[in-house]
Amino acid sequence: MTAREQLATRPRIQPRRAAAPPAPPPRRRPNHAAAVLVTPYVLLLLVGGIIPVGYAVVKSLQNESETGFGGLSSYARVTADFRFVETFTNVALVLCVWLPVMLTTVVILALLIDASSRRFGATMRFVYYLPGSLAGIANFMLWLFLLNPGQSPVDFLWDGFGYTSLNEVAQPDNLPFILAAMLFFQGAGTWIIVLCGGLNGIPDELLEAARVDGATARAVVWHVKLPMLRPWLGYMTLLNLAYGFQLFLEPQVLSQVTHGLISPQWTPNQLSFTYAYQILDTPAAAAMSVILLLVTLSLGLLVIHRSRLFQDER
Amino acid sequence: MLSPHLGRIGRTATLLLFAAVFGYPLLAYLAVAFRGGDGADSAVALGNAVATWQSILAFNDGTFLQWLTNSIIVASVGSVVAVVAALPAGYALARLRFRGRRLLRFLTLLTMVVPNTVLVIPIYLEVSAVGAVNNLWVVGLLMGFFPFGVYLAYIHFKTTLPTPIVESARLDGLTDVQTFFTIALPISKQAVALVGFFSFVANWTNFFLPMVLLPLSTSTTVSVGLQQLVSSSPLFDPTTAAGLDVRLYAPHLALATLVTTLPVLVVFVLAQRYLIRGQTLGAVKG
Amino acid sequence: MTGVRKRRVWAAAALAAACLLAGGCRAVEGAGTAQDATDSGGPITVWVDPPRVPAVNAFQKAFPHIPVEVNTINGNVGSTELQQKFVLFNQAGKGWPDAIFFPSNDDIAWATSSKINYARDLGVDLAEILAGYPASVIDQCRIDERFRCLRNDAAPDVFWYDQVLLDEWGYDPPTTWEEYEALSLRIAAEHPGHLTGFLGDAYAPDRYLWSSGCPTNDASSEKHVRIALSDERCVRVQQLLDRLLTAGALSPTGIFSPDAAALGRRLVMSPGAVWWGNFLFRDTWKVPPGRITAGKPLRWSTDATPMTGSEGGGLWGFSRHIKGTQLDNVLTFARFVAADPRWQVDLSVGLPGYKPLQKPWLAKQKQARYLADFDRAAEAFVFATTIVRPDRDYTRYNTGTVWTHTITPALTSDKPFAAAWRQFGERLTQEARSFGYTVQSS
Repeated sequence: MTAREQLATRPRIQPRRAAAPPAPPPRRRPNHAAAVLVTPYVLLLLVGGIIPVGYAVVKSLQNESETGFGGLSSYARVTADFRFVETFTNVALVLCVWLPVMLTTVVILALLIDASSRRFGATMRFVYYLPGSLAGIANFMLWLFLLNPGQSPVDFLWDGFGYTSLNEVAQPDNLPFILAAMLFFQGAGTWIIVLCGGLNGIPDELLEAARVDGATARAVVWHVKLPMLRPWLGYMTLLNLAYGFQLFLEPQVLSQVTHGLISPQWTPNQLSFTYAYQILDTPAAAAMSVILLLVTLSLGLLVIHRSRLFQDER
Repeated sequence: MLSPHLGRIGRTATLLLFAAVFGYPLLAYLAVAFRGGDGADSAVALGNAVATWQSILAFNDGTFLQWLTNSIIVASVGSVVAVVAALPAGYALARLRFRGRRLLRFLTLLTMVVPNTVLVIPIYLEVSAVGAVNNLWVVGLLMGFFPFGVYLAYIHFKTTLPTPIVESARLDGLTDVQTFFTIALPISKQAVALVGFFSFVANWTNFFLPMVLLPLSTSTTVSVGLQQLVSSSPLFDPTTAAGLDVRLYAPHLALATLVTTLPVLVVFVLAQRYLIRGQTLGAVKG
Repeated sequence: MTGVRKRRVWAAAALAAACLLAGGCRAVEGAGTAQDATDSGGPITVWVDPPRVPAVNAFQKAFPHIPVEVNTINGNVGSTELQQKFVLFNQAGKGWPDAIFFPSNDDIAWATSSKINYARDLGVDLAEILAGYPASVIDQCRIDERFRCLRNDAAPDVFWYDQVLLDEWGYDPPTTWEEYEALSLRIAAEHPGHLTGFLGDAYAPDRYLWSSGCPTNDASSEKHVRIALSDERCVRVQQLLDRLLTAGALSPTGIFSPDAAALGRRLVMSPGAVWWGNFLFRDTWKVPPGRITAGKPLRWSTDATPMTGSEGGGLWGFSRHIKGTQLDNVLTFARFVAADPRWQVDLSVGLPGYKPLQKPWLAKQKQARYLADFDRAAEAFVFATTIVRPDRDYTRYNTGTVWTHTITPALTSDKPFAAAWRQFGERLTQEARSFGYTVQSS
């Protein structure tokens, strides 16, 4: 069997629970090989992850003039900021709109694709992925065009709301919905691909067995496919939850094109940015980053714990 | 219960409806790129895009091409570094036992789940402390830190590399490093493609890191550059363009945006067959 | 075994640090005090917003032997990117532009703050130029008794109106705020669809609050400011705006908004800066010539002397970090953009802040035959430059930005003005505090 064939067939013929091959035999010898192999990555981990976090923690404990130890004073300054709670509320609003819509739609579409013929399903999956290639600012540019009545292809929508200008569409009360729609548009396709991959991975024998047992298509979805997707859904929820806290670009540029209609400190990240570059209070900016890090880290721990991502010999 | 026939029609209709939801705005946007002048009431034509493209090039003496070049440098360096670092690390994590393995695995997961934007201000503080701001290579290197890639490689080696092969290599007297290079790496095209693809897309669309670390308009990447195009467009501020010889309207913005997405699409098409076969990805499960 | 591993970790850490230091990066060069001033030997770098690009082009034509590198910057009011760059330059100890046109006037506050401290004191080098400015035009550049910027154009508010329409309808242009209110209400009732003001842009507080003397930015030092929206001079303008909004006379749109173009053509009258004539009515809103003219700034009938506000009127700043030939060239550039007719008269759309050039500029404008009653407008312009209220400073916090994200969205979604006004006041104070100002609120 060639390597490629192994690649192509191996996961399919193995039942899921046994997908992980047996653990390597425990061998206790100084492992220079491992050290060689992980060194480049460990260096990057240090430079891109650990050192900045450590540096931020140290900075955040300095006093305002950065001349000495300031204890938790910078944390006190940011949490007392009149926008602190507001920015987290804003993010929570976006997440409340975005996550449920995202989860249900992605699951339904992935199941439908899985049930379709290969060719049609693959085409649909590709179409759904297309907006994903417009991630970030490119997606935002597209949305600027969608949001601007008069030139928008969804002008009928804005007509329905009675909006005639960008400022009416993009008013702060609508922002959670707009951002949720933007995030959905750019993110759904990628997750559909991921879920389709998960559904593909369900062993044929299992589906065959269910069918032989006389299970209806609906029962197969309910009792076989959805349980298989569940860990993915947990992972996706938490990852997207964490993602929500880093929102920056969209509200920032939207504020710019609406001439300040949206507060320049709409999300926690923007507030952190304001402290770093406008107020010029580096310890406070660092403190804000550390707070955001703690929030997302705890979400991350939850992901790792709940979905057992690195399933192991344990 | 619906008849299978009706079910199929409903399914196809739903899928097509969503294809319209995702596809229609893209098509409409594509059409704008091929309108002429300020895009208000002009027909769609290929010739328009040529003229529009020339105006984009003329903007600030061709700075758009500079942005594209910068993006390509940064994103390529980033994904090469990511692949070079992730594959051996993923292999070691999956196949070797060493001290600190659990810690490394845990930190990888953690940094993978934390959105990198959260780290940007700390990274900026770090980089400016050593005076390395405004350096494309530093940005590329930082983008090479891609824990998700390590995770993908880990899953790959865990699920697709048969233990007997590794064991027989050991019996043949190969060291672990040799085993990685001679046995594991050659059958890991898929992992290389996945890590490369995901990191390239992440780097290409990264906005915050270049914005903070590449502050000059000539040294920045196209994701930040697009935002500068927006703020130089009379579309959102009719007074802005008063002193500009190059006026950017909706067709210019649309064309510029679409051009910036081409590399991502190309990489997607190249990597697509590895993406959807669903092995490595499908195996990522609890 | 442990030892090996530990050594490896340390080696890795050291390598990481070495990578960062050596990878083509520069070491820190000090915080950039004026003692480190450098001399390029001639070439200068200039940062301007798009409308000021012609100024640089004219300079290059006039002084071809001075090499100029131009960088166009984002002209949006309240944008944070510029300041971010200066923070980075201070850290790197290099990179500052030699001359800059600040896109927002508030930028001068951080550019002269003790942390960034970019703008040089022009008091000695450019004394002869400074002497040419009317006191009330250059007042905002006098920071702690030092002159740290030059005005590009004087931008006092005058009173703009459509003479043709007012004549047709048989109204006299108002001269006081009280008359403005009364006439606005009449126009709103008798000619619905017509407007008498815009309220949604970052300059609106300058137009209405500054001219009334409402203390929003009354800074006595870098750390102390007076914000007192309960002041009678705030209350009177708030109530006036409230009544006009209720009557539908004012638009919640901002003057720079793309939809203002259509509305601008239905603007019957409004207080507005001198540059409104060319920049808005003529170039952006495309109002036909011969209709628009300007009268003297509105005054409050209860005030002893007439006073007005100022919208923008750009500021030039120059680097503290240069010396020698480079500095000489920058000062040449400074004299050119502030006081050379080849820019200020021939090209600039705004009334020169530099007094000796105002007459030639006005003469040139007269030939353009755009304004209806030119002499009346010209007289109003010159008079207005002398009566700009002085107790309004440019501050680290941006009053216009606070206005656009409190008042503007409220008006856009038809929420009551009074509540929005309260929110504006609260956020303004909080914002000032977050910048480290001690706020005096009475």
